[in-house]
Amino acid sequence: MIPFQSFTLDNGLRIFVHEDHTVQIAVMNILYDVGSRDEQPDKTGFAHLFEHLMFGGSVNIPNYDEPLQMVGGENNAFTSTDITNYYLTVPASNIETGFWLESDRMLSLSFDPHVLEVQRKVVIEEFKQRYLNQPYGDVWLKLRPLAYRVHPYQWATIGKEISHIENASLDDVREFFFQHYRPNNAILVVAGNVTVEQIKKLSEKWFGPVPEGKKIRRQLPSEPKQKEKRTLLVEADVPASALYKTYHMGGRFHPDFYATDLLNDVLSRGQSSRLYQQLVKEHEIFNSISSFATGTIDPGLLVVSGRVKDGIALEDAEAEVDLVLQKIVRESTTKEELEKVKNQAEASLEFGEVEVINRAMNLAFAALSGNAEVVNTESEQIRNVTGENMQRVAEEVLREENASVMYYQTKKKSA
Amino acid sequence: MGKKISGIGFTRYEIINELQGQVAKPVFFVNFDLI
Repeated sequence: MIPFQSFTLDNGLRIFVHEDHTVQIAVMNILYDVGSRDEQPDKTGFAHLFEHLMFGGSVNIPNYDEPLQMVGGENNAFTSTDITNYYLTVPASNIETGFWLESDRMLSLSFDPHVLEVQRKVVIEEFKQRYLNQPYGDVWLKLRPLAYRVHPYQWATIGKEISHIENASLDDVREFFFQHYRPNNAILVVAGNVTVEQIKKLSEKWFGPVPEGKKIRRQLPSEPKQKEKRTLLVEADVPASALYKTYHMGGRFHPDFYATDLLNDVLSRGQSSRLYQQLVKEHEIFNSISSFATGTIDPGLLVVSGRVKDGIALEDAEAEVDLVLQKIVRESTTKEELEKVKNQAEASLEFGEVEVINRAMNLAFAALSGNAEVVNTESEQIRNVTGENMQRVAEEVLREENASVMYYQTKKKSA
Repeated sequence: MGKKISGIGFTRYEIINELQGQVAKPVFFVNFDLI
């Protein structure tokens, strides 16, 4: 349970305060409602590049990290297809330093050309290191455009290609900032050993003067319903062949999300799960296998992926996966399985709320849905899932015409 | 700036958090393709 109070500044900044006087720290989490789905197809990777630029100095503060470290603070950030999220932790008595730093970089960046050049190189290196030079690193660069033909989820958070980052100009950067990094496109959560009254005063003082931006109406193209199975064969220099099978499903805030998520857990969470028991342990088809939901705000993917044992053809491995999936569509789950995955999910939620920073992030993300209370009803929603719900979503989602399959074949095998 | 959580392909129950010393932990949002 995350108790909170909220208020909105005149400039549109939504602020949530979660008091916890059992800790000595305070955290700030600022979620900007911008991710890689908001990028233009010829300028991808910008949301992530921007996350880096936000640490390169703001209009009045040349160095973000140093003042924060001087007051005992830590910070980090991440970007996804949907959001860009910044967070910091400080001793509670130093929370105003966080307000000073975050409000200044929301007011304006320094737009120093040297910072752009440095971060451009950093991000290009990150692209190479994680996606091009790492075994299996390019999987999602190839799988996304197979599953998504229209929606911007067809490119990864890192972007489609390095040239988009290489070509980013300071004008592009400035435009992106003033379009997306405005108070009315952000959600601030302050949590820990603070009071609502204190945070109201600090918010007015530091964020109140930041001008509101033009309201953004997000108009993203919807992915049309997939009508036939898609396949892609890729050969790569990897130690083991891998199978990736994706199915379109609803988004993170769709009412069926919990049933689908629990379905994934029955399939692959832990060593007693169906895919593990049948395909890793009994039939020895896969070395490892997992199934998960991408959990994006717009309709996402249910993904089954696994690395197959030497000597097993990927088509045969897929047929074995299909048998397990068809059984769950036909017969749903047992009572014991359902109870097990609900208990696992509930335990995860409880453990997840131990740390203040997690509570702050969860609250910010829930607020993005338009109803922050959903952060406190998730456990109930999970409890309410029935075997019938799961069977219905399994029938709807696990259809061959809804599938995109990538056969990621080790070169070793074809040689 | 070297600020990153790495998390390509993780499910909602796992997050590799540099600050927390590489532990698996649950999050409310799904952290797939989170960089």
